[in-house]
Amino acid sequence: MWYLAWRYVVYHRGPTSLLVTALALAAYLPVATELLLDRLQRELRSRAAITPLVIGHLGSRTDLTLHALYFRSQVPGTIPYGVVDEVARSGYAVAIPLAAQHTVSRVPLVGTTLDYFPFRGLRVARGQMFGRLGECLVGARAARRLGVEPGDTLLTDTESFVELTQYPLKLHVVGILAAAETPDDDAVFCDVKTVWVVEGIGHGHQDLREVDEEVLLEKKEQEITAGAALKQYLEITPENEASFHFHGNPADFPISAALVVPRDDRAETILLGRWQDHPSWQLVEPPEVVESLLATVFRVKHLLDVAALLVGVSTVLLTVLVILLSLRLRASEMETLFKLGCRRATAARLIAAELIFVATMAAGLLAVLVAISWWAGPSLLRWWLLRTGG
Amino acid sequence: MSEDASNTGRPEAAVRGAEVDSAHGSSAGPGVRVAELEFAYRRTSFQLRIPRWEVAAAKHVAVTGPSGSGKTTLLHLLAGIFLPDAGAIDVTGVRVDMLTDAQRRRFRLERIGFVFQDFRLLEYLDVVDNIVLPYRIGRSRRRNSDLRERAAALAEAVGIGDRLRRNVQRLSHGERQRVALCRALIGEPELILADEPTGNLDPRNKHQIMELLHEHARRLQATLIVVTHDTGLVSEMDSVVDFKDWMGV
Repeated sequence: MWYLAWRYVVYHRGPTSLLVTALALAAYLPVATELLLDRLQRELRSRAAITPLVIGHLGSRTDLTLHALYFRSQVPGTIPYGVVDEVARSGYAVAIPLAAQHTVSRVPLVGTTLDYFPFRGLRVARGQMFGRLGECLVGARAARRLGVEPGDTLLTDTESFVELTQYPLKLHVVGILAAAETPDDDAVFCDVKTVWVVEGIGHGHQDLREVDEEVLLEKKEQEITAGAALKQYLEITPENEASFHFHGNPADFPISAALVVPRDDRAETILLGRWQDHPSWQLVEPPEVVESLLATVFRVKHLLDVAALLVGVSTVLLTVLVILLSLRLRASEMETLFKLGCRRATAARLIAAELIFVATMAAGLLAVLVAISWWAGPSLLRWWLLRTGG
Repeated sequence: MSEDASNTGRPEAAVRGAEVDSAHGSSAGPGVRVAELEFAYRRTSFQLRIPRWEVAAAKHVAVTGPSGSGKTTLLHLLAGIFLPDAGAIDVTGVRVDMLTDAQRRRFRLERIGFVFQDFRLLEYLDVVDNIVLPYRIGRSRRRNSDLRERAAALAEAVGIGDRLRRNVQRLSHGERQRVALCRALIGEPELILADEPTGNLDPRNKHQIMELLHEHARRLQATLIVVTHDTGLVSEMDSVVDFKDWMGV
């Protein structure tokens, strides 16, 4: 019987494939949703749980939290670096700046301090930690994607989501981070000052005292003004590093957010109280924001569950219809089998064997789809979540 | 299968050569024996009545008659596909009308070879698999390789030995009827029933198929009953039964 059933399925591979695909997809929707959301919530919760507080510009708490955790979501605005100093001066917490307004080949460029790496448990797998302006560390997955190793260089993208910068900056890759299976794997890290250079706040150029007179617009005793012909450095090297400088007060320089690590629960409570009514900045608790976000996601999932149930029921009904129609079309075949001496039970077993083959193939296809989703799904979901702003 | 049926062996050689029957004739030997047979389809006016008919074992008989006279119905009754409303049907010593449904199915598988006018091959199987189909649906314990060897030998004998792995959809009508013939013969039946086996074939194939039927029925010492409209095919038969003789009985 199994052989005959298999021959039937193989001969009618077109219709069988359609049926298998329909069954697999109908089952895939609820299974994949369950698996992916389960994985997403674990990932979101685990990263949020080790990020006690985040400070940033007043606006969407979700955007700020996702930006601080994943570096991709847009923030309502930047905050001045002085906020980090202010938190540090309070003595209640350590603040780690994050300046993630720019990208390198579409990979987030995160300007921070060396405190970030022990805080996230990150270690350098190859090369060394950045130490100079213009140096960067690349996350494990990002390194694979960009195809870089220590000693290579990367150009920053000229278009950020904040504004158009005039020139790309060439970054020197000095190390590759060990894989952490977190969003840190998908980012490029550098000193926060390097981001300010990318931003255009800091720059390096030819020594004005040594350039040709025609480059200069005005020359006074205390002040020299140069024109656009002055050569700006797009790469920071040991030779030109000394020429790089910043205009303005560093306390006013922008960062997109800062991680705040309170000394203890009491310090956390005091900080939250102190910042809760600030007119421009906000201090948020990522675990709380993530729970609120997940609550929304699961409300949507309940709707999806109902939809999946309806799709499942309709698919089963359609499958039954297909089988009944198929049996009508096969009436002549069944009559032949009976005339030759086939028992009704044997014919029923033949049909059952065919259905088992179809169900097995559908289960196999479902397993493949789920495996693909398991592998690529969290990234896709995270991308979707961040693109839609949570 | 009842004890009675299962213990019944193949026809003895002694019954061969028995006198040919007419519609009302009689003969010795456990070939086919029908007595006081009555059958009617529900909700129709059709009625088949055969007072008495006997075919000696190993004889080749043609059944002719007008369309709708009940020729195909008779074959179905002999094969145990239909049950008579009254009367007795004895095939190779087995009272087919007394068997249960399951016993009749097994009886068909083991003792009857049926050749249909429209071939009735399974489109999703190749030549070999169609030939061994009765074994596959009969839960045979025969080894697959043995079955295939027998099927190949039969196919070779009827001239389609080079088509074994070909799907039956890709065969000519003549080739398909050869496959159907092999399927009927694979179980070495004691009774071969052929319902208009040449109805869909050209003259050349008609004679070839009939020759093959006769040849293999003789080899198996099987009784052959062929329903046909074609009077040109009855000359090689041991006898001819005309349904007109039974109509109005």
